[in-house]
Amino acid sequence: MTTQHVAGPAVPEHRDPEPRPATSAQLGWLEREVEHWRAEGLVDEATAAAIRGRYVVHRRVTLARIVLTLGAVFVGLGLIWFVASSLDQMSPLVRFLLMVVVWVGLVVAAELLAHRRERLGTVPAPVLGAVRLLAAAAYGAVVFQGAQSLQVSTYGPILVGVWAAGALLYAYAVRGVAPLVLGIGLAAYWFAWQVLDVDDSMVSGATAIATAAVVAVSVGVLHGVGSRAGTGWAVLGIPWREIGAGLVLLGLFIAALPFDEDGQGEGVLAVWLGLAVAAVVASLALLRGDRTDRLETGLAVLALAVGVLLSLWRFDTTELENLTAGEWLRAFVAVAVYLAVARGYAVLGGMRDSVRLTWGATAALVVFTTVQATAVFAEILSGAALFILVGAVLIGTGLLADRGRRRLVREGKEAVS
Amino acid sequence: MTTTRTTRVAAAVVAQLLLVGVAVWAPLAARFTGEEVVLRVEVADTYEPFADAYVRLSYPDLPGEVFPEGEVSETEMQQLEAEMGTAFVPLSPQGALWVGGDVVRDEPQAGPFLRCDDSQWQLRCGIETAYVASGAENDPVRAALRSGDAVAVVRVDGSGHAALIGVEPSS
Repeated sequence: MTTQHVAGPAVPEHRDPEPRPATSAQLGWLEREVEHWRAEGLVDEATAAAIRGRYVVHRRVTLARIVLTLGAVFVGLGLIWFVASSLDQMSPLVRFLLMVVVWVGLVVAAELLAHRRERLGTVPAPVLGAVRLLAAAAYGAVVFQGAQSLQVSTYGPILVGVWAAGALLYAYAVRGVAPLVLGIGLAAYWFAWQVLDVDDSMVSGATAIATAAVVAVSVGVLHGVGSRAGTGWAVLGIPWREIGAGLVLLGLFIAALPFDEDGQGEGVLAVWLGLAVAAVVASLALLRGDRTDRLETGLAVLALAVGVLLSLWRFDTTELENLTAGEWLRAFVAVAVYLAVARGYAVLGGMRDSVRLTWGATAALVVFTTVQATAVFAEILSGAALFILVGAVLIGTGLLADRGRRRLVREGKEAVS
Repeated sequence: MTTTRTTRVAAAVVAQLLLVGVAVWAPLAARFTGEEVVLRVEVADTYEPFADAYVRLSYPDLPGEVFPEGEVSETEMQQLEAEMGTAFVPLSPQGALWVGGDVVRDEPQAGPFLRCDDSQWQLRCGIETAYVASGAENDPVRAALRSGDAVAVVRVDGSGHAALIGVEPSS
């Protein structure tokens, strides 16, 4: 672009607020827009200059930040090294107390940084988020060291469950996204482990993950109900919804696999409890949410239902060379459903304006198609045909996402007019 | 705003500490409410037993590995594997010491017993590691552990959870 405009000196008749930082890409966009406004007569020359003067270019990576980050990394590594090298000479109680000190130290450090950020605005958000993430992770060290120091005889899923609960508590206390991501991931891991601990069949595993997905997506949707986008609660809903989306795609992936595993495959109490919780939160999300919310919750519920059906509709597939008609049918249904759900997420990513959702769904699609093709369709599809198929699917996804985007823009216009 | 967040963080830290208590409830309860039993003990690792301050222990009077002796058929093996998980070891007094009986799968009705886990083949009762403070090389506890003259003081609560209180030379 050949915009010649340079941010002029601040115009004196306006009360000059503190200049706000913006990236050079943002400034470039703003300058072009302001030029359009001026050309259309929306703003006069003085106002245009004043608007441009309010922003200063802010380089994302400054020398100070690099040095600070490197310093923190070195201190952190040195501490871990010191603790690891002297741990085997410490008594169980000293070990535990040391972990508690590290954890509380990180919590306090995060709190001091947050104060500083609120007062002076000098602490960048990623630094605060990183320290909070470390604090939530260090809590895990406290839990596991406590168990080790007291010699808990079975390291079951309960320890991960406690870590998850602690991380979630902390995340909501500070309203922090970084510890929340860790907490949600741990909670899902705990639930899957709790179920697989009792029955490690594919049916149970896939159902547990799909159930966790419905709970996560619904809880995320409920965060957005009654709060405006971009405010505290709505922001905390994003990791719930997006990790939930990942779990939906993972659960369906496992359910669609053609292999048979032994295991009772039913009667796991944890799964039934999880399903009951999922039913409650999903109903609430469907009742209270708007149209996009209902689509998002519906996708997760659909994936759970289809996943359970696919898990139960299993053949004793031991040799993939001689598939029966039923096995072929199951494979085609599985692929069709997976493509539909993944495309749903790609479109949803467009509606939610989330690049992560769209790319995640696309990546899941590629992995799924490749695995299914090598596992089931390898007999009839050559590598070339596989690539053409994947390409066609991606183009289809792209067209759908683009149509969704255009419709959104159109609806946006209608809403304004 | 800031003070309320700080209060919330403090409350979360307290709640998190309580949660740790939940995770380690069993050995903690045994430590504070258990009945004291004394068991014969020796080092499990005879190659380099005192490489650091932690020593792996074995109890000659408790059932060791659950692996059956002699030839075992496939079905017997599967049955055994299906059974493995929670294992109970009833304890009975023998002079000043206590000895364990054979592993049972149902919780004993009375008497002190250990609640263990053998899903990893080895019987684990939560008393397998001792911290022996690094002292002189002729430390009496280490000498006793080497020569097999050591006893472990263990507290066992009503539901079989155990906590190792200490290792002493047998008098």
